[in-house]
Parts: sequence; structure tokens; C-alpha cells
Amino acid sequence: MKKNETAEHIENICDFKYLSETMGGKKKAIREVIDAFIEQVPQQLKSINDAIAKTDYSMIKRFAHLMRSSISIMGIYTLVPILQEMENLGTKATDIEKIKKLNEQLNSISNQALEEIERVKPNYI
Amino acid sequence: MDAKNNNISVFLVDDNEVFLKALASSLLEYFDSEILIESFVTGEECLKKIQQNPETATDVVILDYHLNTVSEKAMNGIDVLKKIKEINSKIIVVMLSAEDKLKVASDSLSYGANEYVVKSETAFIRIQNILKNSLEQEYDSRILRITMMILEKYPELYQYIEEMQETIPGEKSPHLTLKNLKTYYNSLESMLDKYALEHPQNVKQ
Repeated sequence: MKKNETAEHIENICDFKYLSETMGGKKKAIREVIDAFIEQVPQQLKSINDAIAKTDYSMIKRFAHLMRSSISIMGIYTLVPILQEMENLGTKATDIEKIKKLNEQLNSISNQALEEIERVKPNYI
Repeated sequence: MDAKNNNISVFLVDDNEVFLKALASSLLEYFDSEILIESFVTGEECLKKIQQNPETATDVVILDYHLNTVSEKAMNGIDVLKKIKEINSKIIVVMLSAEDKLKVASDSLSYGANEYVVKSETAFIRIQNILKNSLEQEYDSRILRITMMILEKYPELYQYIEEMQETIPGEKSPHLTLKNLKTYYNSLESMLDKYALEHPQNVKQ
């Protein structure tokens, strides 16, 4: 990425267009949301991992639901159907094996997204 | 917030701190210095703050329906809504939900929420507009009520309304802002409070 290139110009997992538009392009506001995301999402992933380890469907449902709001703000649209399905399976309290597979995708894509966000973060000072 | 603070106070309640931060930043971007924002991750914290100062703590609460993700025992949005309305029915409440479900919407509205917004792509824009319109309507009607009361019960004060410097912008200055409305309303209220204090014998029920 070029030095002055901002996040919305790159083809990646995250689409910062929504966040940027919502914040009126204000870098400070965007940075605050990015910081909250970097702080919160690893905790949310850990909570889902812990819930799966305990086969706690109620917790799986609740944290999948919580994470859906976070990832939508950062434009990580590929995670929306994955989290939606995890939430649905959690609600039905069924198919932990499928939830585990979905969770692998969730962790992999989320970690890629976090790396991307860390890379673009310096552009929002 | 002080009793006669002219800024609009908005409480945000959501257990998702990313959403909370994004919503706060988007509202500050839209309303600039016209509003004061305070964020809470539980309904209990928000209620505690309102209970400390029921009449003046806040003008608006933007409240998520699901508040028990992080703490299973936390109050849900509907229970928080009911409590807010019990404490002060004048507080404007906008209910948020991740799902577009009829039951959530109808429960929210039947328990006194002024609006119901689904957390979709357009949520922030909708919240901004709802906030602006709701607050303008609310202050318009409060100004109308207090002005009518002055006319009916205290016509001797009417002359002071006209003499006040803080007036609502008219045709010459159409840029009517929430802060203008709140300032004007507070000035009328202050005038009545002062009159009641100085002339207790004239106060009518």
C-alpha cells in the first residue's frame, strides 16, 4: 500500500466505505472506532471459542449476535452469513460440529481483517 | 447535566462497545456541539444515572434491545425502557435491534419507545434524523405548552416573553437549531421559576 493510501482504496476483506461515510470522513472518529474494534473483537472471538469448547449454545448465539454488529461497521461482509448461521444454530441448540467449522472460518477471516486494520490504522491519525 | 443546560443530552446504551463508539462518533459528527453524549454498556448503569437526576439527566436514550450478551443477568432493553418511562415519561427513547421483528417493534412501541430502528446499513442515518426530528417536535410542543400556560395563567408575564433576547429564529434567520429551541424553552421555564419564587402568592395550580 502506498504511504498516503487510505483504507477505502484497497481491495481487501474490510470495506471501510461505510465507516468512512458514517463518520463524514473524519479521521479521528474513524480511528476511535478502529481502536474499539481492535480491542473488542479478539475478546468477542475468545468468548465464542470458549462457548464452543463448553458446547454452550446460548453463549454461542449471544456472542455471534454481538459480533455481527461489530463486523458490519467495519464492512467485513463475508462474515455476516457465517455469524448469522452460527447464531441460528445456537438458537436451535444443534450441530456443534458445523458450528466448529464455521468458527474456524470466523477466526481465520477475523484475524486477516485485524491484520488489515492494523496496516491501515496509521492513515487515520 | 445542570438543570438549565442548553445542550441536548443523549444517552447511548449498547453492550457492543464497537457499535457504541461508532454511534457516538457519528452523532457527534452530525450534531457537533449541539449534543452531549454519554455511553453505557448496561441498562442498569444508564438507569442509575437517570435516577440521580430524573428531570434533567437526559433528553434522549438510544437503547439496544439485546443488552445481556456480555452479562446474562443484565436487564434487557424492554425492561430498561419501562423503567426509564416510569422515572421520566418525557425522555425520548429510540429502541435499536439487530433483527427486524414485528414483536420486538410492537413491544418497544407499546411500552413507550418513540421510535424503533433496525441495525441495518442505514441505521446511523435514521438515528440522526429521528433524533433531530424528535427533539425539534418535543421542544416545539414544550414551548407551545409553556407559552399557552403563561398566556392563560400569568398574562402579566407575556410582555417579558416579547422582550427576551433569546428567541426562536424567524424568517430572517431560518437556521433553527436544537440548541436554539432548548435555550428558548429553558429561558421560559426559568422565567416562570423566578416569578414563582418572587411572587408565591400569584402562583396558580
